[in-house]
This record gives sequence, C-alpha cells and structure tokens, in this order.
Amino acid sequence: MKILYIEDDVIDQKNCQIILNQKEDINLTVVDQFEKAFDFISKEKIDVLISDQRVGMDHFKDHWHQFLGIPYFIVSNSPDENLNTLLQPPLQLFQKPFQVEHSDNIVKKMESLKAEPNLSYAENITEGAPDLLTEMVFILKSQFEEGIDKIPYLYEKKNTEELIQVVHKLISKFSVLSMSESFSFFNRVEKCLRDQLTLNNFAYKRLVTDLQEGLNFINFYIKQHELHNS
Amino acid sequence: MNCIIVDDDLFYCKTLQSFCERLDLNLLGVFSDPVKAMGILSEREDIDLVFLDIHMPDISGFDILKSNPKLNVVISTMDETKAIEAFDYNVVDYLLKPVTLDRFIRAVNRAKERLSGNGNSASYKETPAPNASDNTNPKEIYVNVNKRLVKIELDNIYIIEAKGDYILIKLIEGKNQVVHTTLKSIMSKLPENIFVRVHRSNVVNIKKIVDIEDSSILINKEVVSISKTYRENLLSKLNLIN
Repeated sequence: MKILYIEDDVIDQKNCQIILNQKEDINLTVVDQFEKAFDFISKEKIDVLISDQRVGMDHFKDHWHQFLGIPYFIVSNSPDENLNTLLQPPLQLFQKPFQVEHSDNIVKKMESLKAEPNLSYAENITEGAPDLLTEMVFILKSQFEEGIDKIPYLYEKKNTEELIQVVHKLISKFSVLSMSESFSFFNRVEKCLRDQLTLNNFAYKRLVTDLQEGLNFINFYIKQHELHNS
Repeated sequence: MNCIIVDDDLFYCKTLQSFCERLDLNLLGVFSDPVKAMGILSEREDIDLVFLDIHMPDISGFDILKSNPKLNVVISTMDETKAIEAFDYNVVDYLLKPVTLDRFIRAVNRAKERLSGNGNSASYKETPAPNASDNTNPKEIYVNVNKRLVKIELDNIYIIEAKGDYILIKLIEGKNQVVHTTLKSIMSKLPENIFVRVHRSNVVNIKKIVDIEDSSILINKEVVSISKTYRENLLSKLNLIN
C-alpha cells in the first residue's frame, strides 16, 4: 500500500515513519508541504493520503477535487469534527501522536473498502424469474461496457455535459453491485463535474478502473451461472 | 390502477416493470423517452399513477411535474437532494434507486390511499401543486432534518453556509440546522431580494445586516466576508443613499 504523508513537523514525521515502516506492505513517502503532495500525486499513484490537519485542511477545503478518489486520514492535536461534513470527508481523524493503533486502523479501513461485489439486489427483485435476471445482468454488463468506452472519449473531448449523464447513470449501478466505495466516488465525481471543477487524472483513471472492476465481476457471474443473452 | 413508467434507464424500467407485474398494476406503458411520455400524458386522462425519474436528457422529471400538476407521481431517482423540491409538487412518494420491492409496495399503497380520498389529496385536487418559483414571498421554508420536515421562519435565518454536501442554516433564535442540500438548491426556494449570496460559501439575509465594510459584513454579531464577485449584487439589493 502506497501512502503519502503530509507533515511539516519533523518529530511527527519521524514518529509516523517508524510506526508505518513496521508494516511490511507499506511504502511511505513524506512531504512537508501541501504543494509537494500535489506534485507527487500528479506523477505517481498512491493508495492513501495522511495529512496533518493544520498543514492540509485549508487546502483540502479549497482543492478537495484535486484529491478526489484518494482515501485520506487526518492527524491532529485537536481533530476538527466539522471535517466530516466535507464533500470528500476524511476516513478517520486521529489524535496526535500517531500510534500503532492508528496504522492498524488505516490497514483495516482500507481492507474494508475493497469491493466484494454481488448481485443480491438483482437476484432478489427477480426471484422466480430467471429470464428476467439474465436480462437485467446483461443490461448491467452493457451499461458498464458503455461507460468504459465513453468516459475516456468524453473526458478527452471535455464534453462535461454528456460525461455527467454517463456518470450519473452508473452511480446507482454500483449500489446494485454493493460496491459502496465506488458508489460514493462516482457520486462525488458527478458533484465535481456539475460544479465545473476539473477532474484530476487520478480520479479520471479511477472512474474507468472501478467500472472495469464491476464489469469483471459481472462477466464472472455470467460465466459462473452460465447465463446466455437471448 | 393504471400506471406508466418514465425512466431513461433500461435497468430501472425493467425493475419497476417487474414490480408492477407482481402487484398486478395495469402498466399502460414504459417510456425511456420523456418526450413520448409527455405525449401520452396529454392524450390520456385515465393514468392513475406515474413512476417518474428526475434526471433525463432533454426533459427532466420536474418539467413533467410542472406541465401535469394534477398527476399522482412516485419519483424514482438516485438523487437524494431533490426530495424537498419534489414534495413541493405534492408527489405521492420519493424512492431512491435502487428501489426495493418493500419500498415500492409502500409507495403504491400511498398512491391507493390518495386515489381513494384518504390521503392528503384533498387540497391537492383543489389547488395546483405549489411551484417554488411562483411563490415569490414565502414566510417560511421546510427543510429535511434527519427525515423530519422542519419549519423554519425565514425571518429567523441570518446566514446560510455551505458545508460540503450540507448547508448550515444559522438562526437568530433556536438551534442552527444542518441540512443535506446545496446552497444553489435552497436559494431557489428563498426570496432573492432578501437572501443574497456574498461568498461562494455564504448567503445572508440582508434584513439582518448591521453594517458593511469593504470586504466584510457584520450580521447578528458575526462577521462574514464578501467576495468581490458578489459585492456589486449585494449592494444593488440594498436601499442605498449615495
């Protein structure tokens, strides 16, 4: 897991490094300014952002869309609960000093975000009607395929109006697949586009990645249940 | 009960269609094109209930509601921010996608009650659904707080602040309210000569302003900033002596 930590206090930096480096699969980068974090994420993909509240939050409030789709945690001497009302709120607020318990929480939280898609919703509403289930699964498949085809094209052409429509149509489909993180992310992207905020490259790529993940599951389901499109 | 479905999303057309069949509703048509739906709504008078999406290309669900104020409508949408606006049109129910069968049944039962005269349709039939834009001088507003519609007197509001997905309504008396909506959405419900945007994140009640400096306003013992973009508009709303 690739973590970017924004902190200008050298002691806090060291402390966090010591704790997080104890975990085998964590690759930590520390920067001391928010602007450096901007530069970093424009070049490299990260999985998690941890930020000191004071260094980060004024920027987050104004530039949240630059970090759209990147899960983040806040550390502070006095965590501000109001941050939970931000459009993209932190996953958790930690009281300084950063502790082993916090790093465990980050790992657990990130694990819980990993999507385990299912089609229980479609199975329930089509109970006793296998043909309808098949029909609905193939409709979903075509909508995900359409999204994967259209989003890069519309993004490149800067056709925001149509991009909003495509994203909007797909939001609730993630709910159908129980992919709650993707559901929230697509929701934020739609708000961001409607507010005419520019998507960052990370967010744009994640749109396609999340759709592909959903599509992979649908294809797996079709194969597993031997469904055939009539 | 005669009904139609208007939704541009094939997945939800199928979902609602299967629910209608399970409840033995008489489904007269499924329209992915809202323009065609407008056609049938103007031709037929025997449609008891419409399942209507809000966000559709060209024509929105609200356009259909405006043109057909006497329709019994169940909204089916994934947009949770439009509920208050929808209930201004006296819709029967507001369903969030993906819709479950239980929730669908409750909505149909509400529609049946209304059609049989036991629901809240009496005043609805006598007067058209209120349209916010027609209501130029409302004295109060209803906001959805934890699934309750709470009445707030407009004269009691001094500032409304944007807080991400929410707004904070600051009140002169009583507890401030946090509501899941946008500034833009609530402003469409407020008299524009009284509630004026002064900043990307702030709307003020100009009747409560104490004084104005270059870049700030004193209002109910609180100082808020005015951005240059909104300053001229604010001044144009005030009774100024030059």
